[in-house]
Amino acid sequence: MTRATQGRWLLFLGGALLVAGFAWPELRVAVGNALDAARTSGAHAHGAPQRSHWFVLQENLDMLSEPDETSPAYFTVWYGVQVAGLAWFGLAGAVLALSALFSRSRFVAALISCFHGGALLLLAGGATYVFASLPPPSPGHSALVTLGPVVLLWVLFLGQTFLSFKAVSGGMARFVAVDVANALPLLFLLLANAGLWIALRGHPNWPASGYLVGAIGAALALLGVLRRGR
Amino acid sequence: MIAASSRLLVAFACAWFLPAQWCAALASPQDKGKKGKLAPTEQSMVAPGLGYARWEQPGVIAHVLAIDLKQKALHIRSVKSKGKESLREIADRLGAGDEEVLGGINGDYFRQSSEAGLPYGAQVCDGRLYFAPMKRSLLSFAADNEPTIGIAELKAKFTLAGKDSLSDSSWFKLDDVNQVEHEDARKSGIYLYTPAFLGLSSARPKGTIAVIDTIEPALQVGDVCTGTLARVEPAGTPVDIPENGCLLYFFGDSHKSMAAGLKPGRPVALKLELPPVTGSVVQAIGGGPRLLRNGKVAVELDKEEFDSVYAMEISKRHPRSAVGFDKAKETLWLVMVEGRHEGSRGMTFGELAAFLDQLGCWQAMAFDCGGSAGLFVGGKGIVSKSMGGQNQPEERELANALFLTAAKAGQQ
Repeated sequence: MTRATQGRWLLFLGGALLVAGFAWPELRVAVGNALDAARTSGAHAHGAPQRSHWFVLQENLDMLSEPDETSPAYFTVWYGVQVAGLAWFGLAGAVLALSALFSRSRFVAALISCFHGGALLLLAGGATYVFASLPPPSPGHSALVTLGPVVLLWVLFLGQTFLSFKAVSGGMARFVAVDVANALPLLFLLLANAGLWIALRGHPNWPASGYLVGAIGAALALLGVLRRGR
Repeated sequence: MIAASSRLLVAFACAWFLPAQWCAALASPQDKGKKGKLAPTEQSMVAPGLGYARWEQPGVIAHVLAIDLKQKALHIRSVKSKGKESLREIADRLGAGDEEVLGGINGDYFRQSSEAGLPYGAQVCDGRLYFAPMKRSLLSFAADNEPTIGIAELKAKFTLAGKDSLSDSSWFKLDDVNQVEHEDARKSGIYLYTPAFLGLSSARPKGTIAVIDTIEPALQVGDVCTGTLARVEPAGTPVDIPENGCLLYFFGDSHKSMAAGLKPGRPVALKLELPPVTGSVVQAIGGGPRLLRNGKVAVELDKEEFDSVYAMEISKRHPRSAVGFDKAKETLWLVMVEGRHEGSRGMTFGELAAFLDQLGCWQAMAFDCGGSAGLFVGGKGIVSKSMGGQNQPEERELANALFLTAAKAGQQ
């Protein structure tokens, strides 16, 4: 098996694991129920998780479809930012996995750049609007806490724009064009999954094991990118 | 026509089972001349002066306890958990004593990481201050069960003077009660620790701790409480807080000279108040935000001290708990809305406020929501599905709750 093929498989597997990590609580229930059904002719013992990405996604979509009239407008924007952020977090793994099928297509690299860049622009813009609308922080609290994620999103967007330009123009020729377009989101997903797993391990209300799966997936995908680079 | 008939039927059923005023308190909101969405599907009398109703429509299930505040046999009690306890555990503990537990609802938001079960807002139990208020809504009751909802402040002071020389003694301001911030973030000041805080750990390297074994009346809000300094401990060693006393923690350079003057045997007096609440406060429990002000929907998240991101998160549709009372302060409603399951998706604050308005509330505020929301009804137990999360399918352990009790038969 050549380095390129190994890299392709690693990228595909990593992307698939990122998707699985995103929906890990639901997957565990589905697999558990399927195994039980096979073993006990149809008995379903595994209850659905109460808190998960999917749950929060539904919660936010519900608020977007029927906003609370007593809440300020920026609350609704915040719910939209969460939907966009969660959707991107989940779909980015699928995009990475699909990227394994393409090697040097600049057209595909441009499409992937649009996907990541558009998502990051939406998130950064929405987060900026919410930050600008927030009431002044109460005494003892700093606005920097909420400003930090906004700045990070803009940095990610600008970095993605730069890398997208490189990918489409054929720069950074050491790497495959689609991998250049995916590079920054992949690094972000690796750090975010690893960080969230460390921070949320043992949390009583939030299943964190999916982040470990996601972090492993991102690491494998990164390895794949490095393997199929020149 | 059908709606009118069903209301007539409810009214007829009420006439059989419930006294007239409880029909008014529990009947459909339409009966109050307001636009109603929900209709009670079940109602019953739990005890004289206490009615229960379940409201249901597709996607929303709500439970309501209506309490006659003029009914002297009913005791409203703000109850601190022992550390952290579920609503059922608190009910069982209370029920094991002299009182019969008739109802209860979860209380304040709390620090989930703390084993001591530390609420964010104030708590007063039987007149005794357990925790100080923050800038959030507080429900308080005077001796005659008269309820008030408002944002209270802590006004606390102490003196090292005997009971006989209080009038001409110097009083010093107490900066906070049961403050949990990290030592590095603590400002120089004098802090009171009540028994509800359980104990001060050894992770407090600076300052001086004055231990008062007994203080009487025990940290009563509105009274001058006096005691004697039992001993002085340097910070840095674990100190338990005496069950009938308290600790005074002198922290920072500006209080070094005062701390140096602390000697065992010196008299100590404390005065604790929660303005603008005047007079004695018998029971109080925190929560927020305010939902109704003078009969109008007023979700005052922005006027209360909720972290901005947290405020946006808790404003989604969640399981809810709330409390409200009418203009005459004769009826108190405890409301719990189920959520996070197929039968009920929960409510936003605005929807909850509208529901309380339809019930007839004049003032109302929310309690902690989500997995904490729960309602206990005498004879029925926990009436709501309590769901905390995948890893916490059991009822969530809470910091405090509001309960309704009455003397057990034969002990009245």
